Amino acid sequence: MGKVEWNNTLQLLKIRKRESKSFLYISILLIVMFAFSVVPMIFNSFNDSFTLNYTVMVIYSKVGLILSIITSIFFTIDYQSYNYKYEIYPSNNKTNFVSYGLFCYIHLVKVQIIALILYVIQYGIFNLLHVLKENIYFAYEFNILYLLTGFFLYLLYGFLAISVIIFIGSLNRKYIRIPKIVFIVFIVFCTISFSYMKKHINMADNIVINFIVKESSILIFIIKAVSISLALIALSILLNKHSYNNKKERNHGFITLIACIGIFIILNNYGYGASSITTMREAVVENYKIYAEEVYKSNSSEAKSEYQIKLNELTSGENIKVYLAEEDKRDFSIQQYNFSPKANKNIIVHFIPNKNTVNGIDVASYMNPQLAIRYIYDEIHLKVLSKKNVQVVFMEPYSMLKQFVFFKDKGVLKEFYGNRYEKIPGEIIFYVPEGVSMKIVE
Amino acid sequence: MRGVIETKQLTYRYGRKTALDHVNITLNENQLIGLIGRNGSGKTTFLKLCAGYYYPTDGEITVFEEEPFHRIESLGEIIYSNPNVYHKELNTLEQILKYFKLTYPRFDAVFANKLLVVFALQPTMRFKNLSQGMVSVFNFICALSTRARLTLFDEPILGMDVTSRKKIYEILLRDYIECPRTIIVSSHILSELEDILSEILLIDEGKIILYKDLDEVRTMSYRIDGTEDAVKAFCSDKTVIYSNYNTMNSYAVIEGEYNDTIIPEGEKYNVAFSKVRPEDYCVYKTLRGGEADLECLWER
Amino acid sequence: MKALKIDENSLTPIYVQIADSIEEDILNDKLMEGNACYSQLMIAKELKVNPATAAKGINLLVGHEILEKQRGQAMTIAADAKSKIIERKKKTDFKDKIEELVKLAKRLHVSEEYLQNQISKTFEESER
Repeated sequence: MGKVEWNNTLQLLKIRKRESKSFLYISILLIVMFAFSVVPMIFNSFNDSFTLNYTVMVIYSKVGLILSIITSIFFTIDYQSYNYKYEIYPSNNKTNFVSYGLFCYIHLVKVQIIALILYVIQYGIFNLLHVLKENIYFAYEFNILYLLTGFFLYLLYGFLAISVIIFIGSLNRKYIRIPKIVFIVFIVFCTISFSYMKKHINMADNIVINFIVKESSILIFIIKAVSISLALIALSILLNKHSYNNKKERNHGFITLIACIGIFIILNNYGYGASSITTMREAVVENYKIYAEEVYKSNSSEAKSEYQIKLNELTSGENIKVYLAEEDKRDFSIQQYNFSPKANKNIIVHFIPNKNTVNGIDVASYMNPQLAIRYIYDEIHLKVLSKKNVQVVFMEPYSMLKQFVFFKDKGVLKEFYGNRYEKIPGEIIFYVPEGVSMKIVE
Repeated sequence: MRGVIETKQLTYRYGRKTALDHVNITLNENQLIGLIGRNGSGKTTFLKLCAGYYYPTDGEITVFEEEPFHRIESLGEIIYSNPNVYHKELNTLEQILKYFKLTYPRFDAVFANKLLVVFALQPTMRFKNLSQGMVSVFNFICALSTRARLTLFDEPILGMDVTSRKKIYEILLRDYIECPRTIIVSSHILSELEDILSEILLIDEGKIILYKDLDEVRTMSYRIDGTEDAVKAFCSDKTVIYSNYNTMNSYAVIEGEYNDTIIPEGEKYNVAFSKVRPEDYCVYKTLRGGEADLECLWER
Repeated sequence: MKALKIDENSLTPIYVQIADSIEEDILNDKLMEGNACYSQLMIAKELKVNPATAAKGINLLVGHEILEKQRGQAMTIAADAKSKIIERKKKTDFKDKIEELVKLAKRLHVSEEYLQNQISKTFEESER
């Protein structure tokens, strides 16, 4: 492409960008609106009625990706009518096509940059909130390498998707002359079938998709994505070169817009909105006293919650009754009590807090549960102390990157490869010296 | 003179209709050419092929020695404009002129703004607030200001009132004199354009009927008026393009040049000579059979 | 030349009308021999005609040797332009007018003597 054509392409691109500003603005608006879904959570943090509330926020980059893809679909369907409308400005077959392709890619990059910036801003805001109000936590740590890699790889995903769309569009214009409404209906049908299939069939067996989505090496993934994209683009340019019907009067803009909005709504039903699950106490806020002198508290490190209870006046043969508050059993899922004999002088109580793993991160640990024990004669009263009203925000910057081995065990996401949801109940183990028997009082 | 547009067997078909039928023509450079033809004769198709909007079904066309559909060097040197060019409604006229300035290298923004003033258009007006006449004027202004080496106007005067039309023609001629380039104006109303055109391209049913200097067309025919017998007698050995015989007055249009040799013959048969305007000549040349006689409409 | 109005309905082509009007101006001394003539562009602009038409009119006069193309300058009026014009018009316009007059006289059954008397009378009256 010579200098004259390239200049012309850039001119057309500039016009296209300015005339299609609304798409960019709407994308930004939608993403920012999703950002506000976290506001109810912030209000909840002033409330004492929760023990734990976690919010999984929409992943901005995913939303941005979908919006960019929809934009590309729109402009692919609208290609001929757009060319017809703007034919007053000088162009030729090639420059029209290249400016359209460049626009789709650049739009993707812009939206992804905005998503990234928004993530960083929200990260800052949450950490500021954590400083001001201690019970708000942000579940992921900030890692620049991860962010940059994620950004880049996400862009590759987007490029690949857009290349496919452009290729299908070029194929359609060259060979198939179906009315556009059929094309739109086809897309909607595919999207619905896809969601149906995902629910009922394990998509893991699809070779074509797995070629990309299950690729675990970053380098090979890059090679695959880039080469496929380039091949599709080259084919599209070739197809376009021999297409002579690139300007059609009929304007399906409105229908296309409706269809794209429909697609967006359908895809959004995957749960891209914020979701939150809470374990909520009944509205009664209990006000209990802690018996200071006799309370043994451990530190918060989960593996070593051991308490030693001195048995001064206990004689052998005595039954010790163990009491644990109902709310605590429920809130901390304490379902197991093990009594193991040990040749000790003292009773050792080992507290293993429960685990509630969301997206691979143990949410329950944010509550920092500690066991408080009061020992009177033959009664042991157990109480779990925790931070009240803990709000945890999950905002993953880039999903789908769990496919790469590179991030496994790097501690970036604090998650295990392939381990998303898990609930392990809490447990208390009593190491009982000889001659002492203990019994749980329900 | 080098030909700016050259076609060889240029054909364009869409659906079952043939808009242009094996057209062979070479148009001269830097002329103000009038493209005359009836509705549906292929004017718009021809202009759009020159501008690279369509690709020929058959045959070839070169503009500035390039295929217009794939043109490279002449990007920005060819513009096709009609009264209904699409502009986004919310855009201001100023913004639209900016787009032109961006894409046409010779675009003269100062000139365009002055023209806006002449026609009482404000640059801050939004496009959707213009009436049809103003839209035509605005599109004309944009196209003229691009100073493209090949400027094509497709019926630019749609909806314009008489004052605007007169101004438009004057401005068109004057700008053509100041910045010579090839301008093709297609219009139904040749009479208003006659004085400013240099050449005429007459097209009918997809074929070029003639391509000549305007002055030549003026001398290609003449009209005689007289009694029915006189006219018939005069015409006996001549090529008659059109004739109309009535009780009170009959006339005929004869193909040929009016010169001194004809005058005595006219006296002999007692017929009066008059000029045939180029517009009428074009009408006569593109008449189809059965159209001339409207009498049947009122016959019972 | 500003006085010229192009008659669109006349059988005379426009470029001939332009040439005639330039000749008129030469005869009226509006344009002097040896001086520059109106330029092609000026004619086109003022009369609102295509420059090619204006050029044709000028070239017609060049053909009649009334205008000369000087090297590097605009068209100039030839030194003997006036006399050439008069000579030409005598042979064409003047002769045509006389023929017309005679024809008219015959149609009105006017004698040759009467005609000549009328001509003498008219000459006398115009002297006064």
